[in-house]
Amino acid sequence: MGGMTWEAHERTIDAARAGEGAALEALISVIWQRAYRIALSILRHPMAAEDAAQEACARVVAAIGGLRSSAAFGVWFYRLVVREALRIERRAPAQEPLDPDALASASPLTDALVRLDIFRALGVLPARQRAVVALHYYADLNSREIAEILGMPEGTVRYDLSLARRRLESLLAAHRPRALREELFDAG
Amino acid sequence: MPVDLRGAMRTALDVDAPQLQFERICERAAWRLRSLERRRSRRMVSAAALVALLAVFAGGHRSVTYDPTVAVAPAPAPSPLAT
Repeated sequence: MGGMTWEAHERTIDAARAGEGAALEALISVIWQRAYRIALSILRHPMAAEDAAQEACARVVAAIGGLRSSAAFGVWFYRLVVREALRIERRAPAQEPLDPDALASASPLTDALVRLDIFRALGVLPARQRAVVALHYYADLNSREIAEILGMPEGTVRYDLSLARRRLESLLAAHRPRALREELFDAG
Repeated sequence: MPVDLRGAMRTALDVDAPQLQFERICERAAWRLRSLERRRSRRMVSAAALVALLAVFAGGHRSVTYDPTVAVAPAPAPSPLAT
């Protein structure tokens, strides 16, 4: 699942803010997979994504005591993940999309080549647009929240999203195998 | 033809994250805090050095001696206010 309601974790976040070690560990285990997947969509490389997710989680551990309220956690956490991923991307941009064998998935629906296809399409986009796409289509955030996370105007987010959508639609429509087209595309 | 991008993204990102290494994350957090602390200490040392330099500079000026005629000359009366 992409979307996450932070309200369900409010108590854990508050306890972690108060310095409870067990709550902090529980919170990190909740956010770990999400951090990794968002970073992976931006970096398209498992090791780089793991590095970004670890660094973002380390920042959460180091600074959660100073967070003003548990309601601010979601935006703050995504900002840490995206900033770290973009920093790694600037330092060493991925040359090749990820190796399909390097990713493990329990889902029978997906196969490695499908994933490779989508990541190749994502690779055509600039890193910032990949971040916008991941935050909107995977994390279910709206343009106002994404603007807050990326520190840019909401209009720019909507523009980026529209550009990325058109680009991805044309790429996926052109390259996807037929069975997958039927799965991912609306019939009407 | 419209594409279900949400479905595509979920499909692409339906991968298992590597094993969570909480100890490693805590080590990185501790390193980060130490490095912030070091940076803060360096800033404080720089500020203290600046204050010390200013004090030395001000002290140097205090020892300047003026010509005796200037030193004993009465202060000029303030000019009357224009009405």
